[in-house]
Amino acid sequence: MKEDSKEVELSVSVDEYVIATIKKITQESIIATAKNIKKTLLEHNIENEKVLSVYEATIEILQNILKYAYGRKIDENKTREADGEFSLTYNRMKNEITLSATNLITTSQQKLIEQRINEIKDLNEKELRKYIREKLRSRRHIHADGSGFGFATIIAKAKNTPDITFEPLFGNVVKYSLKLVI
Amino acid sequence: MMENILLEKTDDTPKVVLDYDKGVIEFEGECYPENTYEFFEPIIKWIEEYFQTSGDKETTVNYKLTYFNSSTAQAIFDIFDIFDEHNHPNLHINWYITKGDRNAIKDFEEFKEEFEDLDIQLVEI
Repeated sequence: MKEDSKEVELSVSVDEYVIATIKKITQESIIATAKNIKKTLLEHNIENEKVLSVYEATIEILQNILKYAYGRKIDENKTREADGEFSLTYNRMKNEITLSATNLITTSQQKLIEQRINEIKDLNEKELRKYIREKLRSRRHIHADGSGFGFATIIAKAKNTPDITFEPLFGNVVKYSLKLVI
Repeated sequence: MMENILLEKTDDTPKVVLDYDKGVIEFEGECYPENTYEFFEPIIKWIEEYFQTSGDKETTVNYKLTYFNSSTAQAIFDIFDIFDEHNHPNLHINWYITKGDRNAIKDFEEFKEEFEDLDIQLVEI
């Protein structure tokens, strides 16, 4: 991905069949993508609980890109637009859905993500919920966007520890990739 | 007298009813707005003012959120904090979930445990 690249590719495939593609990550495109994913997975008779987990993780991942991606644009109405890649594949044999996301971040954001990974990587579902509750308590009345535990809510929906990689690109910019299986 | 507020449901924000006359506070739908704080700021302000002026008035909270993102979870937590600070015997909270939704039950149980003095009833529909 080039520094000045403005192309965004979001795709959803079921058994390699691409059923949705959008070009920009905006709140509008997140809503459309998430609803499309939900509808499509339900049409493939995937159990409701798994579909909801995918739906919620998709929104959380895409909103994270929208809010924190390097080079994102924000207008006077606080409407954002960001670059990134997001794909979703369904493995019918394993009944697994894989969500993959890539976007640019800064090295300080990388440190923050690594710190959060270390905090939660060995936690089971119950412990993750406790972690989220403690975050909620600690941020009482801060009154600002961003919760500080969006990452944990994504991880809580995964079958196992997600694959996360950081690839230095230029200056303080890093390519951040996340892959998780639900 | 405070003005009532009615916000209609959108794709990413819930229907919100803040009715001073009837003593009803209601959230219904999904909630994952782009700017969470801006959406909730006037709601939180209204609720704070409501409890400062309504005394022990009969108050019903209908919580019918089917999905909320992590930023919204913080706002909801703050709203429950206000309920807790102003708790009285005539404050009743109905927490609606879809029957059999295990994650929603876990959310309910956690809020119930966190705000143990509040009268929070689970309503499965």
